[in-house]
Amino acid sequence: MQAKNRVMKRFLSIISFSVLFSIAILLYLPCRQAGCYIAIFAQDFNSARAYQDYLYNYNLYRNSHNQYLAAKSEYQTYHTLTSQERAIKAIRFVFKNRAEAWRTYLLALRTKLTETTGIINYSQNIAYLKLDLELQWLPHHQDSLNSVSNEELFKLSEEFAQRQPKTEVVVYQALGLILSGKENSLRERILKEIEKIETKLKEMKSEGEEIGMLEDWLSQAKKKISLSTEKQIEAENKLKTINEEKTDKKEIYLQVHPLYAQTNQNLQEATSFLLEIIEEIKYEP
Amino acid sequence: MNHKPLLAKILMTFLIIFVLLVGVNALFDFTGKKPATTQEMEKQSEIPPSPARVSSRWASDSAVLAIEENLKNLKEESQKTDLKELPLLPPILDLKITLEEKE
Repeated sequence: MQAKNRVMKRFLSIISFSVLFSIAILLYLPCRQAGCYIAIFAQDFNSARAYQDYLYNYNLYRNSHNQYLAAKSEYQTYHTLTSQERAIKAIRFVFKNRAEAWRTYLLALRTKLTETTGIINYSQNIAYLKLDLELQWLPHHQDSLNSVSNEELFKLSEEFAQRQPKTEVVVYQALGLILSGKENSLRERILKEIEKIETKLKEMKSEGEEIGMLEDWLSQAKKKISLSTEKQIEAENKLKTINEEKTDKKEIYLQVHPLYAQTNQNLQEATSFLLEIIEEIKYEP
Repeated sequence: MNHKPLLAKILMTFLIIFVLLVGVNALFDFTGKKPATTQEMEKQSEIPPSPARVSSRWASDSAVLAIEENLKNLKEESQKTDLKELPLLPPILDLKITLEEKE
């Protein structure tokens, strides 16, 4: 009787463990997608950590690419079956590392996008959607690389290559959103200070203070804010010209940097003007 | 009576005194006194100090001081803002990996 109970207990514990293990696997597999990564590691997984993760994987990719080049060179020299098999193995390895480098890069970009304030919700959500589509596709691609035949391996790689131009457009759009978000955030905070100064000037005027000059200075500060907005719109319009067919996407992105610098310069000048107004308020004329 | 040695002594003494006077004068000029024209130019180039400004009654206003603090922080932040994000440029990946000789 006791032996029977012991057998039953052991049987039940094995069943319980199997059920729990299956549930864990079922939860883990879909969680390899981007959203779950960020939810699980929300507290510790910031853009800095994501970026380090990407750099590590990019380094792995570059090393495996060098190994592929060496194996390919050996195969092209000797054309033996052994060198061919070695080269195929190296290629399979570099494909996996390439996909992982790209996946971790997109994750780093997405995390940075999450941390940047000042981005309109609608634009940010569109960028998330597009990045997540690619982040969801990549794990399936990586899994397939393990199981396909040598002939299908290059078809998979071609599939990866064909998706790149479209994903690069999403990448540069996201980068533009990050830059614009930073400037929007600064501009909003400066505008709040302008509101406070306007309130203070009204108070001073009601108490008989002469504020004509200060109002004039304030309008000049507002003009600087408008100029910064104009330059930013110019940069954003330039970024919108990036499409799948363009082969100079990076060059276009680099061309908008001076425009964002001018945006920022105008914001700095507006801030300087406002500080001069405060200085003037603090002293008798 | 031969006056020549006496005359020579007198002349020598006069010459020494003259040289000493010239030397002392030159030394005095070098160490202290400037020419009048330089002194005038220096007087013209001196900018009169701006009169100290009197604080207004708003100088200690908490709202004014808070705005000033915020603006200084904003200025510093805008100067430090990275507007290129170069580390986040997409990685260069080989999309033409094959076994063929010509890619």
